[in-house]
Amino acid sequence: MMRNVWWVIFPVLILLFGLLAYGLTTNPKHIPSPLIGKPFPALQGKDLNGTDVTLGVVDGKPTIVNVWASWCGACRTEHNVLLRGARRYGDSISLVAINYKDELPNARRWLSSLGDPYQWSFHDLSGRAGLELGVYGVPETFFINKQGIIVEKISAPLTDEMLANGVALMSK
Amino acid sequence: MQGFIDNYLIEFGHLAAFTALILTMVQAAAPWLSGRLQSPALARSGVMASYIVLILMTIGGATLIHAFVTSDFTVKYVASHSNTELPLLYKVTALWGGHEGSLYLWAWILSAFTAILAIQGKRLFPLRLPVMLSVQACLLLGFLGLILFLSNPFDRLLPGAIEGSDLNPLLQDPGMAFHPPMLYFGYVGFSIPFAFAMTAMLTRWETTLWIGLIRRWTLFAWTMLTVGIMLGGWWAYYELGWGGYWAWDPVENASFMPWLLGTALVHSITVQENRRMLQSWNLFLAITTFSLSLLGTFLVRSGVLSSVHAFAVDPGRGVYILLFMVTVLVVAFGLFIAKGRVESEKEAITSLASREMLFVFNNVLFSVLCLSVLIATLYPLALDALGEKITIGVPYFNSVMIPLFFLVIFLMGIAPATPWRQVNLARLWSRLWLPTVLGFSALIAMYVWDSQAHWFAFVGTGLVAFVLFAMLVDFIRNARRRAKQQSVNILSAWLQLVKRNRRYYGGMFVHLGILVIAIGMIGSGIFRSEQVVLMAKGDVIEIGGEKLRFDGVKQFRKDNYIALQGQFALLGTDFVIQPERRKYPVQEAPTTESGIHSNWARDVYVVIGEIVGGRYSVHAYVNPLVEWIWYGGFIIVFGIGWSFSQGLRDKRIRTPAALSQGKMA
Amino acid sequence: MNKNIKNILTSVLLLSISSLVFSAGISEDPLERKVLDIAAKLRCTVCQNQPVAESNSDLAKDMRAAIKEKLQQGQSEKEIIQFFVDRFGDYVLLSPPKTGNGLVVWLFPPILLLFTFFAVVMIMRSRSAKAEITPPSALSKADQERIRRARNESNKSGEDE
Repeated sequence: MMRNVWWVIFPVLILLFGLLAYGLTTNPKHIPSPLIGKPFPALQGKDLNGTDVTLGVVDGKPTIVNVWASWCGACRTEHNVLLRGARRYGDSISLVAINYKDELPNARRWLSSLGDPYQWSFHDLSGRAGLELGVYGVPETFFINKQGIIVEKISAPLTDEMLANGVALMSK
Repeated sequence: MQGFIDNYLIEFGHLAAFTALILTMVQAAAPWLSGRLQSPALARSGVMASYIVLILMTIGGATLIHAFVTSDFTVKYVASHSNTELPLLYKVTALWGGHEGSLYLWAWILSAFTAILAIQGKRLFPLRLPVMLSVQACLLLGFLGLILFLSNPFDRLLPGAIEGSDLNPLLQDPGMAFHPPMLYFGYVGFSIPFAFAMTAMLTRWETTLWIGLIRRWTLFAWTMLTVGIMLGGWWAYYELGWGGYWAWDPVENASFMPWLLGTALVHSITVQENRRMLQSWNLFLAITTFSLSLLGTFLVRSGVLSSVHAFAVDPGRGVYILLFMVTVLVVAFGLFIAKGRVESEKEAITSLASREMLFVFNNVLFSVLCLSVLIATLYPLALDALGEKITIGVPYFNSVMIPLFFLVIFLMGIAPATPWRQVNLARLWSRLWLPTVLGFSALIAMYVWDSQAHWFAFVGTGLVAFVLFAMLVDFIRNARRRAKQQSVNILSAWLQLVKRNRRYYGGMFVHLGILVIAIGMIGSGIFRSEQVVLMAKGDVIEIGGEKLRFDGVKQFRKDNYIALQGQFALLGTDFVIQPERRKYPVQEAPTTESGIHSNWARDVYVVIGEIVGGRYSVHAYVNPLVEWIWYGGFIIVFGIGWSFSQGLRDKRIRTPAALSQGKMA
Repeated sequence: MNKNIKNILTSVLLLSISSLVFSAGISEDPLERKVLDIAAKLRCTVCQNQPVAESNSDLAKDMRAAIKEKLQQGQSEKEIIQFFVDRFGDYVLLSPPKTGNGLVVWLFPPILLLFTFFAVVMIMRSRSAKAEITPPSALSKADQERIRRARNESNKSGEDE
């Protein structure tokens, strides 16, 4: 009987420890998005200057939609990445943003002091646009291909590498 | 001189803790060293070491408490968990308000129990004591290593902070202040059966010889764990403002799993004492219960699982605890597999329909319950490894676990009526037919009363009634027989029975306590009324048969917080329910205090929220019978106390374990 | 003393009048109740294990507002929950769905119970088959009689453990 127990107990223990060790490496807060592979919803609203805009594919080019807010510290860290990205990829892509749950004066001030890489920023004061996109924290970034399908969603501050990967994916 | 003491007292404590670490190493190595060096005296040194380690750990703890009480903010731990305005009681209990301090408490309790074990062992099992102390020392070594190298409460903050960051307001509460020590008494208490099991496997010690000795330790640990869990539930109930007491949160589950297996162990020990069987089960349960204590420690402190209760995330510590746990489990289970079956069972189960078999089912049921909770707690993590994320929340646990608990309650009813060895179905039925009928009647009555209720209410009520009457029938039958035998009236017979068979009737009291808790959970879980309304001054709401009138708010300052207190007149009484919203300026974390009016029949529970357009958002509940949960807790503690008090000069037949020891444990 | 009594009487009078005027029996807004019922089934994605109904986080408030709006537009509970699942994944459901990987965790406990139950019965059966008590026919008549009598005694008296 003990021989049989051996075959049960040890694999169970190994599985348990492996799982827990893996658990130490994960971040329990990260959620994979079900929106990947789905079309980006066409959300209409106003940008920071009051002009009517529509979120989605902009100018028929692969589009990056970045979610940011002036009250978000991590957004600062990725801001330079976006500024660089805007210069590097220039006309081959569109770069727009959603300004999430932010007051207009704060948002404008933030952009004017740090630089504005975006063609425009959708003003989502209530957070409803974010909710439509499954946004649960800032910053987040969506990569949309020409056909309007979301090919990638990053829920962390962007690095140059992530940006490059995203651009490659959406340009395919 | 005073300045010198102030500055260096904590370092003295730190030094004491370090010395304890060294001595623990000696204690761990003693048996093997003494074998190597052929020096019997060295083996006995483990005993002295355990006493000195306790003294040193106490010194270390005392200096930490001193640092808290004198608001010494040059100690980093004190600076991050205390404040000069903090009431004295919480300055002391803040010692276990954070990760480092609570680990220290764990280790202190372990050293205390080890010392007690040494005193007990010198008298009862001197030959095996060194090995047992060595096992305990290895455990303590693991914890002290973690504390002194990775989570040190003695770390200094120089120059000292001007003011401390204050204790988390949620912990500034009597229930929460004592919840960790109770829990840790439970977790650490289970290390004793673990040590016995390990020693038995290492030194070929027949289980029958020591199983009686761990009965009280196991009961004690189980009781402490029960009290700790109940304190946590009670605190969650009146403090967190959602009207509930258990959320199947991973950290709650971490404490529940050892409780489940601990319950199985308590029952399994009884079987071994009476019928000399189930040795392997007992070894297995002793090892696994404590392993779950360690697992709980890991889960809570490593950041692996997302939980409202978890300590601050630190994967570095997580790695250490994981490695420690892996080592302990591999060694323990390895030994179990290699040597767990050395002794053959003295008796065998001869019939599948017998009380022994029911106890086996009991063990199985609790193990299944425990494994289910474990799997459900870890499954989201496993799926995460595969790239998917799901939540396993309260609705799942309730749907799955409650039916299993119904089975447990059913067992509770039929087991006392089932004889050992072989059941006679006719006789069993003669004892149980009345409870069965009454149980069904209760089920039907509940259905008639509210046919829309969840089916848990019907089955639960029926089962509780069944077990209650089964216990009553059993009691009356025994009393009647005794009355006839001893020619006394039935009342004296009752009293005599309960006084003379404290173990048995203590156990029955505990079962009664469980039933009372079950009643409380059925009432408050299924028949709760809830309303969320915006109220202006003068508004009256009717909820669950009670009427509440909002009479405005009061604002005031107290201790280290500012309060906004709602006034809710409970119409029909003189009572005013006063829920609060408190702001603690230092920590800046607002808390809500629920306003509760309790009586045995129901709680009226009110939480005041934010002001919206001149009216306050009010969340009101009526929880029927919820106080019965806490009453049940008291009954359980009473029952354990009763069981413990079984005298040494007992006239009943002694169990084999006691016979071989020459004493009753 | 007189002044105090006067004050008390005045207050009582005013209170009674005001309570007559202001005491409105109010009750919960059924729409709010529906919002909370649905929110109780969803998990707040930025919180540690809390339902949206109980959380005070910004996201939870947004989600409740969205639920309310959708209810006012006439959407059903199923549609609203699906809305969130489409955007946040199964993670936003408080209980795992009863399909796919979620089904595993629903089925696990009952299957485990049945399995261990039968396993234990099998094992115990094979063991008890080995440990047989000496059949009564092997004993002498006198011994059989003693056993029978002793059994009757123990059935009638003796306390159970």
